[in-house]
Amino acid sequence: MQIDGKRRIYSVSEITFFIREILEEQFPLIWIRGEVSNLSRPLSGHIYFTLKDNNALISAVWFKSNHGFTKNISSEDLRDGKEVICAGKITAYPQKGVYQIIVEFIEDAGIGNLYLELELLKRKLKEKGYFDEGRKRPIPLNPKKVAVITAKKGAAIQDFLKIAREKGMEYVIRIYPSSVQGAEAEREIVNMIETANREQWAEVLVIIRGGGSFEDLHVFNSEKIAHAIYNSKLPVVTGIGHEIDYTIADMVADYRCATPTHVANFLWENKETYIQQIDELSISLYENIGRLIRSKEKSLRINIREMKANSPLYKFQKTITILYKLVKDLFVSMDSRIELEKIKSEKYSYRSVSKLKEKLLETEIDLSLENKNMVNSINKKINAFSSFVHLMFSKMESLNPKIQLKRGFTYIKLKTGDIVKSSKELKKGDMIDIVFYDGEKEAVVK
Amino acid sequence: MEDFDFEKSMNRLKEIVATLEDELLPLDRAMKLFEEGCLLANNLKKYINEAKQKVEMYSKEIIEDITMDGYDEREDLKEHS
Repeated sequence: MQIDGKRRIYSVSEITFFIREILEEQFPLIWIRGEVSNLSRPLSGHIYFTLKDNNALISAVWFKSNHGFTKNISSEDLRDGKEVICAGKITAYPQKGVYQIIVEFIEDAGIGNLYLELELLKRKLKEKGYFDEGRKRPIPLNPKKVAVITAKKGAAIQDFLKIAREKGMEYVIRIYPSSVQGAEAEREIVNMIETANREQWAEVLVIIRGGGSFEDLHVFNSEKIAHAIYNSKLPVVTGIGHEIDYTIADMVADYRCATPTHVANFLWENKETYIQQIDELSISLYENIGRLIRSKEKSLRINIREMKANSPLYKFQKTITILYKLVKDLFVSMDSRIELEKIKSEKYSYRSVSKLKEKLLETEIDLSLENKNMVNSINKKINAFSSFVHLMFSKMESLNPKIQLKRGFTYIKLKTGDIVKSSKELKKGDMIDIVFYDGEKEAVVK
Repeated sequence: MEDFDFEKSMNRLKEIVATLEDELLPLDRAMKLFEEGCLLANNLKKYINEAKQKVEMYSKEIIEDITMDGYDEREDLKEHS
């Protein structure tokens, strides 16, 4: 301490240690009743929290060595919202310039008032049907007009806009600025919910707020806000605090997201996902039409084949084949009737039948050509063939020995039936038959 | 692209791709669907690539456009810490 004229000047440390002395002397051991909040449990094992009531708060440290001294509560059960009675000494923490209570004993004073009120409100709203799943409306995907109620400046809107921009879909985001904590927050939030609903511009109403303590987020447990959300004509999506925070506003909303970032992720699909999807669909489109055309081609080929099979031309060909067979049979039956020896040397024998067959085959091959003149050419061939057959019949007719007989020829048979081909075969007194075209006469060789 | 309904067009495209899987579909109908599908795919991509984004601030008198740059992240973090 310096004396400068009449002034007494302390260093920061001096005055802080001086205050600490006074505090420790004045409050060596006191009892304080309050609600636990902002509780933290670092690795050291000590517990740090704030004791509070409606108007004030005091920091508290509960060292690990004292955790055994409790009543109706264990150190593990101590959490935010618990109403407790603590015993300890008040001291200063010079490094931070704050005063605090070093807790030596804790007693459970019953459920914290805030929590109790909250539980009562939840029960009341639940009975009124505010949380019913049945009244929750679907949220449009990729909304183009989005109303966002949040602090004008804050991590929440930052996070939200960042993700929205990354998603890359088309949108207009209209921010309805409002406090999100403090005395005015409740009134402002309700006002903005009502304003957005009056405008009816948006497709969806988003209410977001960054992380904070239980007290920071407590405004979202307000009955008035719950009421405004319940009455909102626009579907409401909330993203308040972090994953673990679950406020009444979240419970009334049509859809609850854990954080503002989650809301943006929920509202919009990723642009890249769509681009990929469109590419895949385009590929399928081409593949499917290709497959379809190939299948049509195949059935067309089958149809053409069937059509050919049923075509008059084809049937004609078949008829020709049958005709050819008939002609062949005719020859065979004629052959059996005409003595083979007589016609063996003649032109029109079996060999000529084979030639005929070849000709017919040629005709058939010609027929199979897809040519407009085909029918004509077939007709020609058929005509040629029929004159040919005709000629053949006439020639064969002329070869028939009986026809020769008509012209005045006769031949001689022995009684054995053998035909006499030479005069040397006959001797005097042989009985023979002379065959005329209209009958036979018996004779004796002289 | 103002009145372009993205979701509807996307669903229509999926529907067309599924319909074209049926090889018994008459060819003229298939070709019509294929053309419609190509057009849809083009429009969908165009819509996605030309998507416009806008952020407005509501106030009692006017709705003012703001740019994303108006948000200073560090400042905001300070406010919330």
